[in-house]
Amino acid sequence: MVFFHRLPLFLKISSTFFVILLVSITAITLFSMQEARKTHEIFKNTFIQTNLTARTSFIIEDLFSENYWGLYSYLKSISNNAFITEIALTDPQHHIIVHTDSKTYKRGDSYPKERINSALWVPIGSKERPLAFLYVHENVDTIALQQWMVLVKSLLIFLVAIFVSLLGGVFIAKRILERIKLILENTDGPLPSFKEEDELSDIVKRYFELKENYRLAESFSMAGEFAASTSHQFKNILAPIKLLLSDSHTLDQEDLRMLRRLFDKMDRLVLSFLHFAKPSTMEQKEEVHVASLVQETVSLLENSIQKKALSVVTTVEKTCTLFITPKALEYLFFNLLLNAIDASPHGGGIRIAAYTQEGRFYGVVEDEGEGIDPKLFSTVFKPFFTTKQGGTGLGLSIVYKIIQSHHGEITTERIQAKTRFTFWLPLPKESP
Amino acid sequence: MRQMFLLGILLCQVLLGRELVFGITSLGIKEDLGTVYDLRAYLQGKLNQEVKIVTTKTYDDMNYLLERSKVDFAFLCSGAYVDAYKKSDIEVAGISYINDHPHYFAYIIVPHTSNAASLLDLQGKSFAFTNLKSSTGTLAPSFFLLEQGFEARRFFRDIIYTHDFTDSVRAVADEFVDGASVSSITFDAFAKIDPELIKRVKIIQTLGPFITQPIVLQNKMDEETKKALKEALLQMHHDPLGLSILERLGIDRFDAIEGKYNYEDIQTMVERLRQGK
Repeated sequence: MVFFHRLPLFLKISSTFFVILLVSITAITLFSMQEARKTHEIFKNTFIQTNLTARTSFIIEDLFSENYWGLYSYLKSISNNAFITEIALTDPQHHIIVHTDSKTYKRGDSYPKERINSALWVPIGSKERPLAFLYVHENVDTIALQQWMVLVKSLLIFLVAIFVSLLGGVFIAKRILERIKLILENTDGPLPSFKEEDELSDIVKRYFELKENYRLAESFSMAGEFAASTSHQFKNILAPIKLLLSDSHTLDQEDLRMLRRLFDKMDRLVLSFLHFAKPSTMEQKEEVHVASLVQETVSLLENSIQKKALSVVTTVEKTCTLFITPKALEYLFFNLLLNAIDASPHGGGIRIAAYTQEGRFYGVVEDEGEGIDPKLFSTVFKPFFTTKQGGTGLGLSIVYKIIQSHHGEITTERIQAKTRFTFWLPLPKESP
Repeated sequence: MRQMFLLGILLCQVLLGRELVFGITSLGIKEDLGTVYDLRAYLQGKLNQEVKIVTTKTYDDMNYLLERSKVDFAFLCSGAYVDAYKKSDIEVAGISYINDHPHYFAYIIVPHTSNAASLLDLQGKSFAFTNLKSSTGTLAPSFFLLEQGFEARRFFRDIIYTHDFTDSVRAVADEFVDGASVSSITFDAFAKIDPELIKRVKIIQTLGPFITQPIVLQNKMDEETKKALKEALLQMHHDPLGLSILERLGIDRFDAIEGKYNYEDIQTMVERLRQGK
């Protein structure tokens, strides 16, 4: 039972169909066999009743009038049946009076005991003192063949039923799974149309509605959080500026340097804010050659890479292209690579990969840093979350926003002492 | 019992209205009842009178009906005729001609696999007669054996009566019996109807010739009807419909006997068989 619980839905549905049919067809087969046996019994009884017992008086009359040819003709006509091989009429001492196999069994000969024992027999005349005996030999081969044919036919029906049931099971499971897959794979885009109008379709529709609501709520939440954080940052910067520029304070050279640094920080904050606020998707999209773009991104950060003596390995399909705003894709790789450089130990390695698979573009950036505490996985993409000194905390949140606006997804995981960021973006259907 | 039943039926027919009663013994006719009904229709047309058919299983039954004038005219075999002639007031209307001769034969037949070459080789075997009065079916082989110093009842291990020439052929073909004696007319006609069955038997001896079976009629029949009936039978081969019926019966024509032939040979044969010497 536990095993069944662990089966995929597809197998559960198919195997349920299979088991139902297996049980029902087995029952039908057993029933057919039973019926075949019953029919045989009915045949035997009917045959004996109709052809032999009911005509005993005629047989007796022919016996008295020594009309042996008449008896032979009669028995021959009723033995002309697929279920009967031969019929013998003997006297009480088992001497043959007539036998339908007249070539083998001659009148007056003793009827062999083994033949007597293997036949259905009917006494002619009174049971106590019969005038003669009729021995009917069934065609065992025909009866066995008949029963065998019933079995074969049942098995054929059984196999066809299994095949049909499996097809039915697969078809129904596929129709169900197609819809479940939309939820499991977190499919984006508009709600596809379904032929079915059942509870599952309602669930999928509801899921898409909730997902859209969640997006909206999340964006509002992010905007609020962003506003609050930005205000706080500005407040932190403005506080020293306010002190330095107070009437009671005379600015010296050191104060001026401090003011410049504070204004630079404000500038960076504003730039980041612009990046965050201005949707990159609004810019012109074009066919981007991913390998070149990754290479350029790595070049931009060459100084930082060399400072920490890092080795960067890029694995990008040469033919891989993506129809997207170039700046958006550059920003994704730039921020993820920058994040990896910052996290990497001196002399560590970074791997960058990009490929397409099953209608999606995948980007991977992996470093050998200590990684992110799994407890923080849910917060790393929030604005102003940073573990770095001097960081704005907006880099990963902008990455997240870009991916989200492209209906993609980003995940982070810790695998074998490496931290891996993987994002995917849906490929347009017309894109190669 | 059977005879009483037949008399009852015929009495009813007489009371309900006069029609001619045509008696046929069932030997060899069941294979071609259509021809028998065609013969009846032909005679009705020629006589302009209703003709009823009465069949009996044996010649004894037919002779019984003739004796009591319950049948106006009938087909008999020569052996039955010599018996009926003594007891009934009958005359021969005509006899059958086959291949331009008024004779036919008794064929001794055995299964095609049999090694027997003559009737004498069937000693101790089973044999099928048709019925007691049949000249070719019973009297001829019995007489042949008598002349050879055997009595049929003792010569054969087992004797069965089929009451029909075609059944005798079947009994031999099925090897229900080891041999049988059948009329050459019936055998030849049956060979055309069921050649496959005939292939399963072979003729090992021919006995005869015997004068062919007559059509007899009651002497007390009114002269006009008697004359019309004789003419219908004797002129049958000149009529296209009549000729086709004769062909199917294996007969060329009917011919008036008028003293040309007699049944003394048969009479002698019957008498010697009765005496057993």
